[in-house]
Amino acid sequence: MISSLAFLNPWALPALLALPALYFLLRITPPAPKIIQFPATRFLANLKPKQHTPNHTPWWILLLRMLIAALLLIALAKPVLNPVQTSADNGPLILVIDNGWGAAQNWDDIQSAAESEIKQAGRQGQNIFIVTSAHEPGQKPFEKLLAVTQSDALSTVRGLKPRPWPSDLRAALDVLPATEGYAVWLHDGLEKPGQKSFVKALQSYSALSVYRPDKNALPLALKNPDGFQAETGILLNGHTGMDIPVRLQLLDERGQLLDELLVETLSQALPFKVEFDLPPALQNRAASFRIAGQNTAASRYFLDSVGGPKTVGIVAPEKAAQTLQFTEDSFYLIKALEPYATILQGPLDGVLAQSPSMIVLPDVGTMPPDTLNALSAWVNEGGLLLRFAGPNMAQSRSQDVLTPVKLRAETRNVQGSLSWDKPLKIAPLSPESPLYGLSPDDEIEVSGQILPALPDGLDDKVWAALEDGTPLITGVQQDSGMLVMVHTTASPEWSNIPLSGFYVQLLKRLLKFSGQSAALSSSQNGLLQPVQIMDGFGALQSPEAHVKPLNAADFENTVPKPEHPPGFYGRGGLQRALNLGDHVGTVRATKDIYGASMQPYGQKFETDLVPSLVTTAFLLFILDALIMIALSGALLNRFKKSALSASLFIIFAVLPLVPAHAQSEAAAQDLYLAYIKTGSPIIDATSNKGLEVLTAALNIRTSAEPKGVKGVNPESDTLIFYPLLYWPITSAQSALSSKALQNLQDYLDHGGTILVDTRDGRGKSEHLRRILGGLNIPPLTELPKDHVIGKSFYLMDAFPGRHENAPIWVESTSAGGRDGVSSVILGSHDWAGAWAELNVINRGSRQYIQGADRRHELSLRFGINLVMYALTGNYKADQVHVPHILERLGQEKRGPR
Amino acid sequence: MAFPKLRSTAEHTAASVPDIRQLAIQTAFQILHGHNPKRKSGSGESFWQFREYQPGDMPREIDWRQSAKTDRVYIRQKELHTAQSCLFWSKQNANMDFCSDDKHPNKRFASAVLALALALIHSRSGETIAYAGLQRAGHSEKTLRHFERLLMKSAESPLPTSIEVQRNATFYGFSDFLETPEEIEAALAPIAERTHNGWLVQVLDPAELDLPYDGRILFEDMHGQNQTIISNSSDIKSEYHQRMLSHIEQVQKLCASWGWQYVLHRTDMTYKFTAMKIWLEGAS
Repeated sequence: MISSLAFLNPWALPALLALPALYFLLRITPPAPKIIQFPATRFLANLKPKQHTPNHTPWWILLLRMLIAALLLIALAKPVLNPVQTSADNGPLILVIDNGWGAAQNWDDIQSAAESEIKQAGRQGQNIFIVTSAHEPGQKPFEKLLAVTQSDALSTVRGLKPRPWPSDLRAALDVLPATEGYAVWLHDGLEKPGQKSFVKALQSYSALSVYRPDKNALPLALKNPDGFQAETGILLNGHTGMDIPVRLQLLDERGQLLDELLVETLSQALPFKVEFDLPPALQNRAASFRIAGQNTAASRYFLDSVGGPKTVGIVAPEKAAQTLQFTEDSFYLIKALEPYATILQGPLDGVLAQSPSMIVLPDVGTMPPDTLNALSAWVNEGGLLLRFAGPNMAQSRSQDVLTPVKLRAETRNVQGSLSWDKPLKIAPLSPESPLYGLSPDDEIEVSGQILPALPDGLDDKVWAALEDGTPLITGVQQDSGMLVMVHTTASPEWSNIPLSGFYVQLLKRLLKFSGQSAALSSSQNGLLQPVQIMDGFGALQSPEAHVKPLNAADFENTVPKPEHPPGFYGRGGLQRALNLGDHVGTVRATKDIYGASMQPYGQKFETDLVPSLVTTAFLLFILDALIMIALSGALLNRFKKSALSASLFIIFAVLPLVPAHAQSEAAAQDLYLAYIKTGSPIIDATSNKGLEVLTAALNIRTSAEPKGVKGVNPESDTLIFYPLLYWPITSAQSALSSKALQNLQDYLDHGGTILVDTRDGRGKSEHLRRILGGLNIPPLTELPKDHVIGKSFYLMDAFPGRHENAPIWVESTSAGGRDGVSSVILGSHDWAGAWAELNVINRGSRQYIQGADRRHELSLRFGINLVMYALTGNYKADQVHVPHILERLGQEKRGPR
Repeated sequence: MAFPKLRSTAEHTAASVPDIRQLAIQTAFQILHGHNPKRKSGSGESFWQFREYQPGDMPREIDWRQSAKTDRVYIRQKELHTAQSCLFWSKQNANMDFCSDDKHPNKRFASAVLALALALIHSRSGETIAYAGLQRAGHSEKTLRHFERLLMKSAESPLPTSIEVQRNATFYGFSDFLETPEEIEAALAPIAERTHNGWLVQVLDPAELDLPYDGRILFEDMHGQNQTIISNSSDIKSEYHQRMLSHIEQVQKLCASWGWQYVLHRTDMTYKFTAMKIWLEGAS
């Protein structure tokens, strides 16, 4: 698109001619001299250079300064890009802004067009009138501003919103200002009722120009499909000439996309029926339709209350409540209804007491009179009673009560031994039937049935019939409620319906009725409260104060308006969707308006270049100043110094990171014994020394060769490298921070083992509880006699440290995946203390442990066993080594101690 | 523009950071360590001869090891060193802070290093040193430390006026000697009367010799006064150089007239070169 440029103050431009003069001026005026402090200034006195020509400012600095001057001069001339064709000076601007539902689609365009028009009028000093075409919510009927200034008008326009109801041009006609002026109509592109007279009124102004959206950007609407199943089909309403396909989306309750269809509208006559082909499971979740790429209120279509948990009572004999058999009716009912409703099961009294929205009576004939009355009252109040036939019912005397039709007291057994007939199929459902849309499978065969007493007068009660015309499902409204009767069993006894998908569909459809029959009928004159309403952009929001409740009786005929915006209305479990698309009539693109200049939105609107010019000039000015500083040399030195210190800082900031990383890497590559630092230097030193002795012992005696000992801080160190942690507990230790606890818990949960040592020889300490309290440790038990720790390397039955005979606690049952290794071993023997009493002597490449008496030896053996236990798990508990162990045990018993 | 002043302040601070003493010691040791022994016994540090004990000698001077070898008792005599005193003076004013390039030190620093190096050499040779007019002569470590401080921080003194100089003491004057020859003569003549051992070390920044500037420049002295605008600095370079050379020549003539010696040190030269020259020529 070719942009055009115009100057609003062209008189400033001739000043550009003065630039060459500026050039010479800048050239002649020498730059300020550099100042240099010089001790030998005395020797310079009276020295005259031979050449007196002043030093020149470099040409590129001249150019830069000229550019700055030129930019400022051009900015003075107020250039604008894409100037609006200036209408002649013809009075105030009357700006008509469509903000009905269709405007949301092109709202950004409408707003920027409005701003551009207002700015233009403002530049000419004209008054601005703003008229909007849709009613505003609340008290103010219309946004109408009379004779406002540019800034007022701009803020008003920025505050405008599209509304989720149709424009009302007839009402807007009354608020058009009676002044001279020119009119601009920012049209939403839709033909509206009353447009003709409105245009006529607008044409009384000196000029009329109309903006309208591109044909592919026109708003579309979704409408209630007549004779369609609402879950799967929708009517697309709108302008047909779009050459891009429309994407229709089906969403579930949470707004997740279930299906999407691309609809070519170019060749279609609209409204155009669109049907989604979905598996039933997805259909059940369908909650709303949406036109992708459209954001008007009419581009969304919500289905009536899908959600809202419903309860279904199934009346079943007591015994069935315990174990459900395949022969029981309730088994099939529960299986079919479970996914869609909360199920109450039990005797009728109990079920009624919880007032479900639907009660199913499978094959129940007689009922006590009290119960019958209560049930009848419940139906009258809006309940849906679904009855299934069956042998019990056929025998009962009171089958007439609470059934849609009078029944014969006998069963028709189609495939009985006395019958010549074959099992019957279901006849196609008639469009009048409330069940229309369900699809009975071909395989369905009905072999048993209870027939109505009288064949006449059934027509409007029969919802589904068999091939021979006999009713299969009948239904009738009773007071506010509904009675539905299925003339066969709920179990596969008389038919295979319970085994077919039709059974589920049927129950679901009835479930849907149940809510409506209950709430709608009981609230014929009641009010539906707004639950969630749509804003102009089709987003659901909680209702504002001005939204009024809807009369349930008028629901179908309510056209969305400020008091009743589209959205969900309801009470209790019921929610009905008031959809704008049902009430917008035909959606058609507006024709060209005679006598008005029509122009599309989306043109480049006027851009004021002054701010960008001034900014550029300012930046260049700063650049010039920087260059001057740089030329004087001072900047360079400063920069060098700061760069040096910055790089030094970076080096020193990075340095400490490197060794830390290397340390944990080393810990991961080799085996280290680790202890938890308590913060007490004596205890930490003891732990360290003790573990060093143990390390030496391991290296001398076993194939486990730890590299060394590490003290760890559970708060900051990575623990997973260490198979075993020694944790001395002191009374002075404070409770662990949550981060340390989390770290330790993580360690335990991922296979780590901690040896907790209270070091007091008593095995009971309060601070232990305080410190370990935050850890999730499985139940502990006293070390069993045959525990693996007693035989994982040495065979031992006592585990002394500095203290003896205190109990040791281990996990009673080790969690799976740990190979039976207890995550926590708890004792009070101060083992590290015992180990630390020994000394390791290095003699050449060999090590000796010095000073070990029997007790020390045993405590070292415990340490070795413990490390083996932590490293190898419970394999010593296997039976594999039992013979060896038994043999050695025997020897030990025999041999002298 | 505040930059030159800031810079001179910064450099003044920076100049004291490198260890003057270290540099001076380096310089001192690079020079052949010459003594001026007097070849007779005395109170020097080094051994001179063994002499038989005579009544009146201090018993503690007896060298028992030597005496044990023979029947006689010897005393150890040390060589006599006469303590020559060296007086140093270095110009103290803002001019000395001038430095045209970060690569070399300012004049004050260069003077200080040279003076300290010479002082170190002299004190090692058993001579006493002092900062002229401000210090008592000595050769102790304490004297050297004080000397070092005085070199870098002293009251302003553009020329060494009214300074007491011992007869025949060695006088070292460090300065850029940019004053007029008349001023220099007036200030130094009294000293020249007292001693013929004199050195003038003229420390100059390379820029003061070569004037490496271009373009339009406003020159001012280190106090921001006596401004001179030179519209084309490169044009007057040779003329300036001539003037400077003739000034140096006049200073040299003055020196020669007093029997003093002169050396020119450019701050971009190594200290060793200048210090060596002074030491060797002074010793000869």
